[in-house]
Amino acid sequence: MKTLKKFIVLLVASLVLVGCASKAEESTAKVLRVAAPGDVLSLDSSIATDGFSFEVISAFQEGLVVYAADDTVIPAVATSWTVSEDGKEYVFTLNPDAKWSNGDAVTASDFVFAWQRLANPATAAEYAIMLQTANIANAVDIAAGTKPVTDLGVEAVDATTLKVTLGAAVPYFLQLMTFPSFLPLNQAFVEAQGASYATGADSLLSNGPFVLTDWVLGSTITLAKNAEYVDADAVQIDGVEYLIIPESQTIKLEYEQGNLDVAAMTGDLVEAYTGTEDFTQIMKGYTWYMPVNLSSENAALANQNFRLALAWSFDRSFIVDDKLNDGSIVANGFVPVGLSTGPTGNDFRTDAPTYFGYDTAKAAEYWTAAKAELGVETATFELMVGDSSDSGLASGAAEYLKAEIEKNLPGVTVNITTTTKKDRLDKMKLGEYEVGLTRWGPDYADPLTYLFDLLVSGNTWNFSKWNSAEYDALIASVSPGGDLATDLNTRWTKLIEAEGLALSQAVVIPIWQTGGAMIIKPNVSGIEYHVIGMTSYKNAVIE
Amino acid sequence: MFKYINKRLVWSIITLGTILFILFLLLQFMPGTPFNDEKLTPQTLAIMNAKYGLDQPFMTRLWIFYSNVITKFDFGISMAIQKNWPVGDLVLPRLGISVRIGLQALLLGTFNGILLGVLSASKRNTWIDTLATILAILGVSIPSYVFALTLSYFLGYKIQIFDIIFNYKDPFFSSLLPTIALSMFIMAQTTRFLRTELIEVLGSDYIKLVEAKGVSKFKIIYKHGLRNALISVVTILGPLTVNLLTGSLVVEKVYAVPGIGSMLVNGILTNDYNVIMMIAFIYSALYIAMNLFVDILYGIIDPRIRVAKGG
Repeated sequence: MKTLKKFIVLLVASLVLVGCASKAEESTAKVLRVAAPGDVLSLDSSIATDGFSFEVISAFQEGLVVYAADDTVIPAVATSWTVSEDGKEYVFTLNPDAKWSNGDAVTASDFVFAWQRLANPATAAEYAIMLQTANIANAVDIAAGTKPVTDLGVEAVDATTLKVTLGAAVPYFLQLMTFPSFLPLNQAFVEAQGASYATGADSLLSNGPFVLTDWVLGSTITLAKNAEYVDADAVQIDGVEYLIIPESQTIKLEYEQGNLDVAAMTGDLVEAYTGTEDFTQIMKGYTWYMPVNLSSENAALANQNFRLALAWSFDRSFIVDDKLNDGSIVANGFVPVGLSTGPTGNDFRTDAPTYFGYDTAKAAEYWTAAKAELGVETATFELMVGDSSDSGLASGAAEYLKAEIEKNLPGVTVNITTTTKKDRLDKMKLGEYEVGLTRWGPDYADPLTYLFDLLVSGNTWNFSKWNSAEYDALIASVSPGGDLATDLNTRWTKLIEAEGLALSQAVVIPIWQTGGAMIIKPNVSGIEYHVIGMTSYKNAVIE
Repeated sequence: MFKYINKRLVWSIITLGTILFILFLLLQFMPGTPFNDEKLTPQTLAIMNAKYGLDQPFMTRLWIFYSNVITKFDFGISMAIQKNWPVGDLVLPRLGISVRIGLQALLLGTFNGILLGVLSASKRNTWIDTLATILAILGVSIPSYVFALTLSYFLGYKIQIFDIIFNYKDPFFSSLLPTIALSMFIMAQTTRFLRTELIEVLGSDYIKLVEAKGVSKFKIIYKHGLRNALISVVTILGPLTVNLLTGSLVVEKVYAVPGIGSMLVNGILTNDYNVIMMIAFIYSALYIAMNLFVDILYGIIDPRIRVAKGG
């Protein structure tokens, strides 16, 4: 009896005491607190593949070059570089003052080591493919196992001179060098850490604006200002703390309570902040589009007028504003806004025309023409979309597409099929579908990341199975090794021409470009978001 | 008794081994792979499958898995969630957090549940009884997502007494809200079962005899009634405890608790086989251990149930 009583008293007392305990006092350090919906998947720059991991890695590591706020490429570890006449050889001069957080100098051999590690099949890096994208000499043979990794076209001439040899001139090579897979690694340190490299704050080195000080799996990632950083004077905040919070309602409460400075908003919560000082819209480089399978047995899909009818038959702004409401914008072309800047200094979408729109009369005209050509009165096709594991948003848009197309093109029936992302991609690659709804994320800041991968005949991701010799020749001339690869002005015009060719036949039907709605405390400024490239906190300011 | 326990232990190990085998087999048929990047080339995919041993035949992989688990308690490395990390390093810290919150919720929930159950049974058909029953029904029927969010809105955001999210620097204080949210269900279940059982016990002949002897009401309930009624509570607490210790997906999500429940779901979504195997191992081991423990506990609470009888 007595023990029970004591127990009750103790329990009640402890709860009361806990309730009264004061919360941690506000610290005066200027630490930017950023909400993240999930943990990083890897902090090893050779292994990481997801955007958030890349963002964190880029905060504590710096490569040859980085993107400035205006998306131009500016020097980082490399202070200057020269390009050979044929565009196949780059020589980078590295900053002799660049240091790792353990005091070691960042040298050319750190890049050689990192790139060879990336190429090495023993590393099994998913993004080893980036070496091939950049056309680094011998990357293809190394991946095939026919040449040793030491043959990779990267060489440390001396401690501060890095020579890179390419198989063909790559017009966007410098943009590619901002990609985190190309970050340097301190060989002695990485080898000493062995299998435990990048498994915690102690097993990582930093040469960037911040240094990783703490990483609690699934909970927090803490970065502090890196005193050894070569440009440390420019860094105005004391650190960045990522708080991993999967529930968006909880993020909102934490933000409102002042425990967060930056958070991405989704769905219904976006409305609550639209028009407020905190709301910031950012653009991402994903275009959502409908690939139309020209190789399918469905005759309607092979008809250009039918495809054009589809492209004009629905209201893209309704999808963006009412179905998505997450900062996404209408896609007026295939290459997204903000992806690439031409020799004119203009964005691709500024120089290129606008395609498609919502015009039911025009759609009906195309449909009438298609009916005459096909000799039919009705048409049916299957629209394949991902399930909730893929993207829940896409299925909402699909319902709308079906309703609009069936309403504006009388006689057309759309059957929606839902499947997993993997199954959807497999079927689309094999051409075992009719019309899809999918997105593409760019790998580098050039229109080719869309126009080459998704439309050149025979490519894995040419979901439309389009086969145009004219288009292929156009793209070949502007691709690495092509005769226009180094003639940047003509190249730019040809790229615009190529996109026009594909869209005039509506082999792909662009719908929207993914955007993001951020909420940022009004006293925070200077965070740099890029359509392609990692979010940078280096120049962030907390007032 | 010891002979019985030994026998049970041997069977537990066999059961565990079998469960792991069946799971290993089932994972073969799970669609997808851990390497889901849409831009993976067949060449890179082959390299990755080779690196993680997924290109080996089933029996070879099974053999490697069992021998590593038995000799080194090594479940391999993660293929997706935290690439190349030893699975143990990923799972065990999270298990610690889930167990901590689970135990706290268990204590709070059973304590409140017993209190409410006793109150409502002894003050049967009064307003106390009605209130306790309403609480119990609410506890079972309110979706935990709604309850958890309501708690964080009022106690965390409006009144600002509690932390809204779990903070590893202050694990006790910041785990109070998830503890309360988790304990609600335990409390409700305990109340319901205890009330029913206690009412029955209090109506039995031996209690009437004790009453006739003039023993105080409190003593009757505490010494004679409760002890007999607890059997039913112990029966439901076994499986409930395992559920608690292994973390709740919803509560972990709302309070940003890096627990083991969300990790299992994540593992399944990303086909991170080794992570799934290790968590399944822990779940099964806990379940088996809890059943054993409950069986032994029966004997302690009620001498009539002698597990070792004749054994």
